[in-house]
Amino acid sequence: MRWWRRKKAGDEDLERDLRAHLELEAQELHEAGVPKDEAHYAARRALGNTTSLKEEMRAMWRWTSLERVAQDARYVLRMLRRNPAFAIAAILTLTLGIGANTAIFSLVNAVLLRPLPFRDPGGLMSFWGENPQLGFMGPASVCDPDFLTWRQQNRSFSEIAAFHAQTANLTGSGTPERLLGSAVTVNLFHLLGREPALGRAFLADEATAGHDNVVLLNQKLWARYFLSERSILGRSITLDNRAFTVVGVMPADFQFPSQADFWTPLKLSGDCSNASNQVIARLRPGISQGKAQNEVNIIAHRLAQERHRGGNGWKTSLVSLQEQMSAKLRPTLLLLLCAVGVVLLIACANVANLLLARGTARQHEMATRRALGASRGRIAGQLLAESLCLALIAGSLGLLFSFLARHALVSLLPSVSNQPGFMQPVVNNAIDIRVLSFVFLSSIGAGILFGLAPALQSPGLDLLSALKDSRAVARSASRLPSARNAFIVAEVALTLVLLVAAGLLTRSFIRLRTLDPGFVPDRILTATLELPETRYRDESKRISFHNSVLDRLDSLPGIRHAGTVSFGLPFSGGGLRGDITVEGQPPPPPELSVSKLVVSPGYFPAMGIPLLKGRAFSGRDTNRSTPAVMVNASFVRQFFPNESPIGKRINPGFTGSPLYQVIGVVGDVKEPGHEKKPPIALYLPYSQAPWPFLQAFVTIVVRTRGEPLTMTNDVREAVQSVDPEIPVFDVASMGQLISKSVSEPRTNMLVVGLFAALALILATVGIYGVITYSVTQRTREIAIRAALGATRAQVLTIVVRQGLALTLVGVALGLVASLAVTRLLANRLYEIQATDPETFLVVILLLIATSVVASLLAARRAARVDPMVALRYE
Amino acid sequence: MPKKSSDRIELLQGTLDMLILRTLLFGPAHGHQIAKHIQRTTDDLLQVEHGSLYPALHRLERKGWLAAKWEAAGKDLKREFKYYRLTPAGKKQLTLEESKWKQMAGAIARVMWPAEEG
Repeated sequence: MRWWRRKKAGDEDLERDLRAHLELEAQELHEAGVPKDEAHYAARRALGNTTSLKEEMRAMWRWTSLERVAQDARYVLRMLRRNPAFAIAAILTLTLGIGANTAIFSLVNAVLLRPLPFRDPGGLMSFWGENPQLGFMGPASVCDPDFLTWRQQNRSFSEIAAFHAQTANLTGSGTPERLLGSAVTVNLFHLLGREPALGRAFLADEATAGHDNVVLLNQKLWARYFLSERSILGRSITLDNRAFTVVGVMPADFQFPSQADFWTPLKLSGDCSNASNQVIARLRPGISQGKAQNEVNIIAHRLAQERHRGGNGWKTSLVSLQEQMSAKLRPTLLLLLCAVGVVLLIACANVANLLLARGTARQHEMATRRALGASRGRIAGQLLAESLCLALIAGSLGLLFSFLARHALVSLLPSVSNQPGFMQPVVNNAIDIRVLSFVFLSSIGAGILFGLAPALQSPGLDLLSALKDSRAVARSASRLPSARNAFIVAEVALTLVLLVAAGLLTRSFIRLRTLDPGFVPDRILTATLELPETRYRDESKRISFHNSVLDRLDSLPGIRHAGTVSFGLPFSGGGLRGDITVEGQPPPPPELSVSKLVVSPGYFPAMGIPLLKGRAFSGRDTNRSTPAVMVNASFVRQFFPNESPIGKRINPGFTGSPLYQVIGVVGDVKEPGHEKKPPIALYLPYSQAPWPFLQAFVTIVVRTRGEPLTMTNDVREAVQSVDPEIPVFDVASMGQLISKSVSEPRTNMLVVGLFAALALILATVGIYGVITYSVTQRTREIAIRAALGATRAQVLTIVVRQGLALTLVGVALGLVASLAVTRLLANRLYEIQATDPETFLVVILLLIATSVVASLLAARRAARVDPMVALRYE
Repeated sequence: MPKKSSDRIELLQGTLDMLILRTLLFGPAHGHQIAKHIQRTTDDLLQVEHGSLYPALHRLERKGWLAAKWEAAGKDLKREFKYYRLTPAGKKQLTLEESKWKQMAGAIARVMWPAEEG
């Protein structure tokens, strides 16, 4: 309100100045002989109208423009109150548009724009591995010696750190708990610039053997399991039967890698056979990403030569950490942002049409105001102020809406946490300055967009005729249908694009859901456990634990079949894949990779995977019997197209493993993945698992009689009755897993579908509005036609034809746009072409039908016109 | 006494500013003095409309060409006047407008009395 005070001061100053002048003038006149009173008036006359003088002065100082805005705003609010139907229609339309945009933008902001909660996050780089031949792109896996080389040889990074995910069973007090954690080089916290909330970070010597039994806890775990007791520092906790001393607690918002409950120091070894580290680094000040990338290329090349790994197509590239963390969500978010932007455009077109229609009705008012001396600019400005006012009201409501819906919005984001190596970003979609600016700017933008047409329309008006004759208004308005029609055509075209996108995504989603997975997914419960290496070093211990648990499960009345699988459970992400060789056949091409699963005999009946040939695993297959392998139908097609596979021997590609003899063939299990064909798979029996970890990390699969999730506790008890210190985690029904695996396509379908529906409604309202308006304008013509004998049907046809013509032009334009746009959707579609003719046809018919209905509703008014009344009125 | 209105000349737009600035070159003055000075120096030929003088003064003040201060004056120092003073920027502006004016006057002269020009 400072300008207000300054304005007051300016006013007073002027008044004093004028008063002094008047007094002096009057005094001089008086001294020259004019009577006092008369002198006073003469002086006043000479000065002129002081009020208008003051007005003029005020216009000179800048406040007037502000004052004028306030005046316009007051006027607009008065107009809107007087015409509530218009105001509600316009504000509602815009609120939908702006609110939806704000909601989506708040997610984009949270995931893509908000800086990570680390010191100077822009300089943080992640090492990324790319292999175009295998179509792989993800975090690079680096072995310890390679990491040391990177650390010693680079000149681009001020700091470089490695980490890998680990899991541990926390035991000691109460129920055992399964924890996700990370082994990190001790400098990781310093690199990211975060301090523990309590205690200290790791010391340099804690990366060496004998000193590495220390652990940092996440604040959430500390609160949940240790009730936030400060005495935790220095206390010993048991992870996988090893004692660790707690040295600190990291703040709850420090989620790196995401969902980590604890951190232990990473001891670097000289062994390069197990490349499991991810690497992050901070760019040295003044070093660009491109420059660092050049150096990375040189070192990577040198490493490949030293370790004899040349020519396998792998490339190491730097990706900013921010980008990496949002990599999986970016395409979805951008898709949604585009879709919602289109909705806003349609909303703008609709409101512009509303304003145009109303502008015509207000020609008389505008003409009067012009005649009374308002400048053209002032009137155009006032109309624009009106649009901006509407847009800002709608923007505020939209903001309110997305604030209220902020939690629901986050759950809209597809889950990526089950995709290994990718981090689920911490989504904090609070309303911040960026969201506020977005709302403000998009409101202003929308206001100008839809306010421009009516504002431009008003000045070019023939004043006299508008004042004299209301029909002239109609005539001058008849120049405008082109603008109005253009808006409708644009709306229809944009709606078509959205509908096609929604249609394609829906069909793709239906394909995904109706895909026959090759097993019976209802009534399956899955749960995972991991045997700690410390207590289960002996194979016999692992096998006896495994068999006891399965025996207990089999004896439960609610369970039909119980089995286990190590890695590779369908719809859970991941799994072991690699090369194999068949005895007597040349090695298959390297790009052919085979899924390798380790299962118990009960796995196939529990999943409902049919046995096609030979026999299934049974209790006869032990670690002393002949190694046996089962293969799937695709395997047979690939390797034994013309012969029986039974009795053939296979090397499953695990170092040091024997040859396994094929005993049976099972059906293919299909997962909607990136490949078109179902994966080639082989199954090894649990008792003959080639590597210990395949027996330690086990997923239990049970087929239940009733609702699977009701059996959760029974499964847990069965496990813990065998070993009370083994936690059971990742408990889910197969239905849940499948639903999670399609969460991204589902989000795309639902949200784009919702926006398409909004667009269709807006476009329908738009067509209805324009046709209604044109019917009102053409009352006279219609009346004459009716008087000359046109039937009701003929009148209807005339009107509907007009709406149809607009729609068809819009459809034609929309088709061209759709063909261009949906190509971008192609890699989000499953088993459906981006140009799917059926989808296009259905969408076009839907749009045409909608426009015909909208026009018909509007045309009923035309058909009701009584020629006598209409003509007499003229 | 002021001359009859028919004898007076309407001020060309923009020249009032220049005249004000020029008048203040002699020293600070209040609005009334400025108006009187212009009238007197032009033998009442140029009548400054008070209605345009004050807005002009305030405009010039806003542009920073004039600075103003309230001071007591008159016989018994009872009355306060707003005294306007030329700022350095105002002086610069004056030279600018003066040279522009000279150019224009010269140009008009060349059109009006072409023969007289050498």
